[in-house]
Amino acid sequence: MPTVNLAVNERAFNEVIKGLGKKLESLPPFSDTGSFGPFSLRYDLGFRLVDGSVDLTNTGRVHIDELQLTYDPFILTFGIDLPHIHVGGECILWIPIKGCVLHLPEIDIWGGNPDITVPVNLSHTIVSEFSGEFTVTTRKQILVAKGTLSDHQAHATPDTSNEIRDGFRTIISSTLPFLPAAQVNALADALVPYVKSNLADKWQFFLDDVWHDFDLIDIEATAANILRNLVDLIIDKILAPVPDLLKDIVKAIISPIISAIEAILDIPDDILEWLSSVLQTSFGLLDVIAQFIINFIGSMVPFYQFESNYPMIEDSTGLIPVLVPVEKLAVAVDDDELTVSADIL
Amino acid sequence: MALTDHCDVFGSVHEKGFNNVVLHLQQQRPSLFNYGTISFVRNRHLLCDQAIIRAVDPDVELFGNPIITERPLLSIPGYSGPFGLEYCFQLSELSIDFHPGNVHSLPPELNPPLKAQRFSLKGRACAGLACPRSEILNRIEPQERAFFPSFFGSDSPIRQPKPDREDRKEGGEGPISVMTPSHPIPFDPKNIICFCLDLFVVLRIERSGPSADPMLALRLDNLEIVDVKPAGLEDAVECYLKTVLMMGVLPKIKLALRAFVFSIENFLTIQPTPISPAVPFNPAIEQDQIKVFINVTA
Amino acid sequence: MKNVLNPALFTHREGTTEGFNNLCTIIHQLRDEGIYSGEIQRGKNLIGNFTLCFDKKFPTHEVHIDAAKFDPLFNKESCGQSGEQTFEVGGQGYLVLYTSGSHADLRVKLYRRDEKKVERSYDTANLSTGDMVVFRLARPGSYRVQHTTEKHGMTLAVRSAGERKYPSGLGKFPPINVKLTPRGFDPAQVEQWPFQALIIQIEIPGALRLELRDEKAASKKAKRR
Repeated sequence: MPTVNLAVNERAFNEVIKGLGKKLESLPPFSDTGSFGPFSLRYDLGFRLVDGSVDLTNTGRVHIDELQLTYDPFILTFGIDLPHIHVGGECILWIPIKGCVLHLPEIDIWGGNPDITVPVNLSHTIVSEFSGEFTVTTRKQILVAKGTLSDHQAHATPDTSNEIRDGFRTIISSTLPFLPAAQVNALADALVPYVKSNLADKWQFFLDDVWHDFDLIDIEATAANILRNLVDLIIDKILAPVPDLLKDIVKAIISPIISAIEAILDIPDDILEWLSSVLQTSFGLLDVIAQFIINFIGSMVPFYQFESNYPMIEDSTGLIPVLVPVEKLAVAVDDDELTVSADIL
Repeated sequence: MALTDHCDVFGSVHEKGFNNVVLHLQQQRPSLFNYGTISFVRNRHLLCDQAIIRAVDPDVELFGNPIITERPLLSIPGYSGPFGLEYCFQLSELSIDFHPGNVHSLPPELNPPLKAQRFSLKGRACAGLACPRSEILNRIEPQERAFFPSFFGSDSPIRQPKPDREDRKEGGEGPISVMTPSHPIPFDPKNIICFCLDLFVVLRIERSGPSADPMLALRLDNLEIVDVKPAGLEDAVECYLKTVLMMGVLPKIKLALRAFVFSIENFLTIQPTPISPAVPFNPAIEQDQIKVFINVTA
Repeated sequence: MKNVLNPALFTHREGTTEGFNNLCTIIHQLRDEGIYSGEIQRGKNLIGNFTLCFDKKFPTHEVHIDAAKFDPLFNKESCGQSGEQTFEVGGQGYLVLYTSGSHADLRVKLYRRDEKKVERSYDTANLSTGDMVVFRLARPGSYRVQHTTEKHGMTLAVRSAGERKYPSGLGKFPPINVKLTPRGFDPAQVEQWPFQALIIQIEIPGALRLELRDEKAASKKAKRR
């Protein structure tokens, strides 16, 4: 029988999810801006967890079932740097050899710096869903750099080797062979601080991502309409101060702008796909979220680790810590609970 | 039957785990378990229980940590000189046994077997006194003035010599001044008198205090020092130890349960599972383990 | 969201060359080389001065003077600077006077400065023979251009697209030319698109007035079509 047992049931996991939801709501909104030539897009994004559950399965996996996120606030601010449009400037007197000697004055259609921003409030209109399965595995890390050091010596000696970094580089470059070396190194270097400490052997816990799926699944009709008619919304904003009688005239003058905006936005009928694509490829927003999750579901970075000769009692007066060996660490998942067990030798 | 049938989080530690931790503590912090005067510190082979000395972790000396805690010399009542006796004291064989008792063989005085929700502690205390030879004592005995008794009064016809000026007592006995001994009395290593006593204590965990602010306390059921003669001495020492435990030690080991209600940034609360027919004891001492039951609430 | 469109485009419906606004551009050709002082008035107030050098050897044939730029409230870039500016023109010596702002009742006077005396050589309130007046109208409707002292007048219809779309080349159509002779406007009726320029060649001195007769006429006509 193991010396130490720790068991957590499904309800506890679900309470943690609920608590996580509360935590997400308390966070200030995330913001970012991307520019694409004359067009910019900024998002201000907060999260709410509205549904979802964690199931423990008798296949040894933890199943996250339809964790639904709605975005509140979710403000997309479209910015357009409008080019100048002039009327006038016609040549009205042309003399041979001399050329045009008289022009009519040019008048700028815009009153000043013609940059406009159009905020679109999509709060509570879009729902994303995350589902996935993962397992918890344990590994014992024994560093070559430890050499013949005793347990106390290894505990007291910081790891100054590059063993962990080099290991990460190898894993990243073999998993993502298309990534340039500089990016492989940068990614590895970013992850090393989560793992590196001293030379002592360590038990490490990993969340192995079996599969996951994170998609936008729903968008309210009103929000879909807003996005489909976004170009009209922008044009209406520009034309707001113009008397109704003259709106069509001004529209005709600025028709090249309208065509350019339509081409840039190119919002298709499938709003969800478009928005997902804009958010995911333009800013990697969903990647950021997925990465937040995958960072802890990754097979490289343990979400928790402790020394296998566990320092039960530390001392600051010069006495060596009392190290207690922990062996046979195991994690088991069944329908009822997730159990961590170990032996104290 | 799942471990978390009646709670959200379950934790348990087997008595083997506790006992192994104590063993490692003994091996890596030997100075908590071995005490002695200067000669014993410098010559640890003189200690009574060599088994625990041999088990000390090599890293203790590698890191320059002490093996034995030095204690002052034992002062000699009535003697005010610089000499003191040398001694050593060691604690060993510390272990815990959760119900049902299968690690300790409890002495009959403690009414074995170990009852439900009880645990027993066992320890062995070994002491050694470096007893000096008489020749050495004779050599270093203090040169006190001879006592010159006066048998007859001044009116008596029987004459007695008067004491010398140095022998005359002036104004009666003065106060006894005792200086801290600084010189160990030399002794023959073969003359170290060692003895060991085994102590058994049976304890239980009790929930007490008002319901709004409950606490966990350790209660002493009984204790026994094995085979001290005469019986009256054993009883007196046991009584003394019981008093020390109940008045001086156990009252300090109370845990307010409120301290175990953890709130994580106001979105998660972790607290002990309330007592109920499904969870009659929390923590529970059974199946050779101590078990705790915890609830999680968002 | 701030107003990005130039509001001056929609401010005025009518105008006069005696006190012009942004519906009207006045073009005057200088004859004599020399140095001129210019005054820009708004109503009775002087809002700015300028110096104009005309030397036929200078390379440019035209100089554009925007009356709005002399208004420190309008022209934020010149805040703190005086309204005095210096312009040069050479060659054909065309002076193009206009405003890009919503100012009205503007008047420009030129004074010839030579060694002996300063005399007024030109006043926009009193057009000279050879001047050109350009009207560029955004608002559809039926207008009348009238000489203020003679009886000559012309009608100008600015088309509305009605329920159809405006042509995509709006604002880039070539100007329509009209002459104002002693016999009157030739042609006396003109139809054009919004923002299309109407150039009136002045052959009799005086002033012109532009009046909006019927804003809805153009849209009714468009609907009938």
